[in-house]
Amino acid sequence: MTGSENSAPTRSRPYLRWSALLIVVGLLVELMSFGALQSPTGFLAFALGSGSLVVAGIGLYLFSLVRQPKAPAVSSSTHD
Amino acid sequence: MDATLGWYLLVTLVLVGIGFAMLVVAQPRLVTRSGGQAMAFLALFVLPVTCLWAGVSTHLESSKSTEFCLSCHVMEPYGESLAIDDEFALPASHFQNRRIDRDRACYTCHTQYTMYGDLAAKINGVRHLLVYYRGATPETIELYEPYHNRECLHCHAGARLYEEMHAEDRAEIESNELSCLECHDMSHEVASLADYDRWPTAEPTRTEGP
Repeated sequence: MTGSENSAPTRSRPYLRWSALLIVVGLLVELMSFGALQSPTGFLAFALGSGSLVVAGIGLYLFSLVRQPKAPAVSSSTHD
Repeated sequence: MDATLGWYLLVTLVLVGIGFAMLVVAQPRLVTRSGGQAMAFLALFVLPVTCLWAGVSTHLESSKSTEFCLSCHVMEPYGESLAIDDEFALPASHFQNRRIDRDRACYTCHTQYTMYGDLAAKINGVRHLLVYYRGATPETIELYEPYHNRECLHCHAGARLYEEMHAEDRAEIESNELSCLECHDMSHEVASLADYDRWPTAEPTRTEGP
């Protein structure tokens, strides 16, 4: 594998990691909010905590897709 | 679907979502290999979106319960009013005679309220929570708009007693020109709860909450 093939995924990796981390924390908050399902506390924890973290995580993932640079085309001159 | 099964499925779904996302945190290399893009899409988009949707649905469904509404201190008198011993008190007579589902008592008659109405109503619902937690609850709680006959007609329209007794003024009632509460004017009566006896059998109780 050449360096250029590896560079695009490597650059997007930190975004993916942060995105996944936000989603993990968000989903954990969602899981905890189920413990207070019959009160506004659970609803608020879900709406403001879990919702915003998971949406931020998904947003970061989508951003990483847009930001991911395309691998440059392999020049034929290198084979001459 | 059985509620318990649904509950287990929901928790399993969220746990699977957490598991996949944790895999990406621990091994980001996995999603950069061939086929990894699909896994990243599953772990960072499909599963979280599904979990969020399931969470919204579950929380909205549970917020329709009487227990949820009465878990706020400010709602306690309204819950108590369901137990007053007076056949002319609308909420109490509906609740005690099972004219409404007791587990959905508030939601049945306030269907367009807070989370259940349009976008503005949903925003108001969240605002109510914030106002409650900031401790800025007003002394007197009022509806945003006069009580709409639509809420009564959900059940009463087409009912024999309603059709026979209101034959003359049905048009006015159904167009909301004449409010049902003009004549059936005894509602929650929270200001004078102390004046009434209680029906002891099924007094709604405040179970948990802030």
